[in-house]
Amino acid sequence: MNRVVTAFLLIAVIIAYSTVSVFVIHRESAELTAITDSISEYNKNGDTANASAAAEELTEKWLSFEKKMSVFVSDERLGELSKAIAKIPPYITAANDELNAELENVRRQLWLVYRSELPVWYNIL
Amino acid sequence: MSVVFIRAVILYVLLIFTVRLMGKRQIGELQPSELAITILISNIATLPVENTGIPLLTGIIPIITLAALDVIMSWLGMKSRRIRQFTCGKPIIIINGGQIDRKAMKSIRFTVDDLSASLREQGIFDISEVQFAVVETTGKLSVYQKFQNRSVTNQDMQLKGKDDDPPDIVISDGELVPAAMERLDVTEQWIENTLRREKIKPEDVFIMSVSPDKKYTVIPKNQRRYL
Repeated sequence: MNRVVTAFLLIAVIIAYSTVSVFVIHRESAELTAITDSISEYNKNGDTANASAAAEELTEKWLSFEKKMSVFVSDERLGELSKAIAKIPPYITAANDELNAELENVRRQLWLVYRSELPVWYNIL
Repeated sequence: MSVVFIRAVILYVLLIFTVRLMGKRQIGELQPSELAITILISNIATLPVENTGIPLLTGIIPIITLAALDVIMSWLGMKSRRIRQFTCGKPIIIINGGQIDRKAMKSIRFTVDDLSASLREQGIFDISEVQFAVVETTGKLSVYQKFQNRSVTNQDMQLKGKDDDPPDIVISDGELVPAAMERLDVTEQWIENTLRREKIKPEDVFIMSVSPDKKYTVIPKNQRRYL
């Protein structure tokens, strides 16, 4: 009987953990997406100083987010995101035309990380 | 390399826990579903060790899930015969009244060679000796021989005796085994007195076994002789 109770407990812990992980990823990726949006906005208004500050914040948040994410997400996907985020501060400084494309890339990849954790039929199958 | 090492250690501990959770069964006694789960678990365990790019949890979660589901299904199987038959199947009678049921053999793809081999494993070389045979859910063949071929029992010979439990080991490699001592109602004092008579210290005993009627066998560590 102890085994059965342990088995039920483990299943419950896994379900709880999976659910919490989806919420954590959603919250963190939403925060990062909001920062990328503000970078876009500052860039649109020509406010390079604030855009750079936001990019710094994005990098810092990403470094902490990446550690948490490495528990759930493969290194390959995180590596792609890291590369994309690393390009943003120099693009702002150099006023590169590709900044918006790179920000969109970051948003898209964050969405993909979140989507990959959702227990929906297209992920399950 | 240290990551691989630490991951291997974690998975080793997890696999021991998982196997203990699934319970004690010999490989030959595993149900088909249990065998499949055991193979699956061992395969999953290799993935996060081989590829450090994927999170360890990707290996841990399916292993624990499969083991837990196996335990839950076994428990449900104990509650319901239908579930038990669904997960384990049911035994198939292939010889009944000394007659081979070819249809039943065909239904489980059990060939004549399989039948002969299973009978030989049980020391039966002549199929005409078999009265009744069942293929168990584990794939093993259980055989009931015809009357003239069955082994003679003590009851047949009208021999009288007691239904004694077998002896148990009370000292293993110089250390007392409390569970066995309790089962046999043997005290530490009794063991010490017995060993004193045999002129040997407990720590010098490799194996000491005691039967319920307090007959004992002592094998010292330093020599191959029975006392």
